[in-house]
Amino acid sequence: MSAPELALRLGAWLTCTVFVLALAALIHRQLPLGRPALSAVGLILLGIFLTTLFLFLAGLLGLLRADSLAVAGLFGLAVMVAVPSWRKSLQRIPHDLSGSVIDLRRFWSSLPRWLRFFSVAAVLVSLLRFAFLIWALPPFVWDSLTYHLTNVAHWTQVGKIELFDTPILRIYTPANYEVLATWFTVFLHHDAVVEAAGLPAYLLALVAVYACARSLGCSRPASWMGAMAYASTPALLLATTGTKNDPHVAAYYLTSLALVLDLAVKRRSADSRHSLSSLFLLAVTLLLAAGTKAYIAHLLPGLALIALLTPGLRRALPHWRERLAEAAAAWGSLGAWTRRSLALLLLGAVLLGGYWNVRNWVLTGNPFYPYGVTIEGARIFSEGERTARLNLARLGNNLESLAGKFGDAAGPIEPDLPETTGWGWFFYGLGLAALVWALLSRRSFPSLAFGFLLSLLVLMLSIRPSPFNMRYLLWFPGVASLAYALWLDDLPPRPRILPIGAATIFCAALALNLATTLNYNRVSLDRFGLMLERPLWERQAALLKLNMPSEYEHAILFAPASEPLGYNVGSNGFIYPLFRANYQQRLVYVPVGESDDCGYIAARMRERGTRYLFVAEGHTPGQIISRVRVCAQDGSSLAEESRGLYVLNAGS
Amino acid sequence: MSSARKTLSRLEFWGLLVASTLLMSWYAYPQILFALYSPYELLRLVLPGLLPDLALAANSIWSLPEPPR
Repeated sequence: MSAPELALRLGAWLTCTVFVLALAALIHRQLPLGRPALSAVGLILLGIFLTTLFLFLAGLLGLLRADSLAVAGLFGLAVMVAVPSWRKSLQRIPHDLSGSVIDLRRFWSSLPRWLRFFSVAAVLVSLLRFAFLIWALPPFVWDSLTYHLTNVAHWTQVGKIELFDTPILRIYTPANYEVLATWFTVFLHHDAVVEAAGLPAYLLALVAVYACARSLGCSRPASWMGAMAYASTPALLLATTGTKNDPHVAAYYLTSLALVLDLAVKRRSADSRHSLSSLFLLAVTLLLAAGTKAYIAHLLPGLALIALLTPGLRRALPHWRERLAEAAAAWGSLGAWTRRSLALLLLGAVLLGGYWNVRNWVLTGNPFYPYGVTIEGARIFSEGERTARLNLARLGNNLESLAGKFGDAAGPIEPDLPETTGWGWFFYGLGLAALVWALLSRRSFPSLAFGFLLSLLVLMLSIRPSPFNMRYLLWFPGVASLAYALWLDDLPPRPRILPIGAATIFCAALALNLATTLNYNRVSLDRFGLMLERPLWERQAALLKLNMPSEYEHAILFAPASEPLGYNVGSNGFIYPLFRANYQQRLVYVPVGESDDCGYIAARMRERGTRYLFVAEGHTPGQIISRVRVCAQDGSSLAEESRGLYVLNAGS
Repeated sequence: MSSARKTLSRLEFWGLLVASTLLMSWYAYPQILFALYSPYELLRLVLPGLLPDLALAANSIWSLPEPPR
């Protein structure tokens, strides 16, 4: 990429970022939440939501290109400046920012000196770690290379959000995360920074835990330590730059919890608009989550339990009725323009929350396609290659499996979490002990803990028992972090050894968590070295040989990027690396049957407009690889260009 | 707060600190090996030739299932 082109692309990205942030700030001003921590949660959430909505609409309209997006961003900014009330609101952003700086100063000055030093060190090391991993490595996590990033690559390549012909049916699943990830690829037309797509969710989760702790009455230092403890969870750290959507679901769960706790704890809002803002953002969060991954539905009963138990079971109904009445009154007091704007935004959230499932329903008759749904043996939706089951036997199996993984004794914590929970040193040390303490000595805590437990149990009624299923539970260590924050505030200051001991264990646990995740517990220094030898723009997923068969490297080296590349992989094979890091390689799926003759395979390739056919050990069914090899040996229609790459014979 | 209550409270917190330390010790095997291995490798990079390569020994400690799922 030439320097002027790169500058133009970065300019387009900057324009769109300014547009989305300005819009988020405008809307944020209409949604006062009354507390700085919750306000920060609201702003980050709006940033994620508006970015996703902007790209989603552009994607549906076929405008998913840097130039088109820049024009749309500029147009949006011009409209904001042209409307007098919006312009006035924009002019108040510096004032709002100075208010935030005052809040931040108040927060910072509340921290003891040692915690300030530790926080600066932790934030710096975390930023360096994130930046290095994003910069040095291409994506390599299994699910990303099969379906998450395959969607991102196709949309970035064609400039449009659409379905495409592929054996990986999981491209049909709700894809708000993939839309957001496209923000990190579409401007550069490259995947150099796509692993940063998890960072907004990571930040949201961190601030949400802090806001939850504040709602529970914890002091600022205790809340911050709880939030840092959660943010150091190895499973979360690894997934954040692992291009997976689970950190987003965890962030949405914890954001919902922060909003629910705020509404549930308050006896009466000082400003009735606070209730409206919290309820509005709660709806946006849950809709955004519904369009990210369906299992948020399984976590809702736990959140509902917390909403019921926190104000007290007997007082719950009048309490929530009061909150709703406040919100309704606040809605009535808003100006017509504000009401219309908020209604439009809610419509956008409904679109993001429902589009994927409604599309699947229309196309296949099953909103959860490719997952058929069975509840206690009764088939609810049968269409699909996989089945989502909801039954007690599955709960038993999953709990047994969790017991086996508890303590992470099976091996290193890796991004796929094989046979481990990935909850790390803090959770299994201070977190567990604080959890027991809070359950026994804090009257308000059991309702929170039961809510987390119910979410876990309902989730385990349905997830497939597998060595890798703990990625669905990234939100769970949050409960231990909150218990720890509560405990810290009760810690007696004398004798000094008590707080010093607690701080030492805290720092040690967080340092060990971070040390565990430095190289994903998977990437050796040699592999880093091989990647770093290449310029940033030439670091390809296909070349990082962690879980990548050599066939992918051969495809990158020997298949011409100017011609469509035919491929055949199974329903769980990698496609993403074939697109190349700059998304230049056009791909076409070539279906091949075990009994197809060589002439038929060649005809299939010609029909799909490709001369090349890619197959790979472990990703293409073995019988098909054998079939294609036989055709190449026979020599009548195909020739082997290199390992896994076959080309049509000129005369065939 | 009565002195008995204060003592109880202190005991409670001492208990919690001890419990945390014990729980972390329980968690330490084998996780301490994985936590220290990456920084060790970094150190080897910074001080080439001084520290032995433990890659083979590290690989022999665990064997986990690989995707596909």
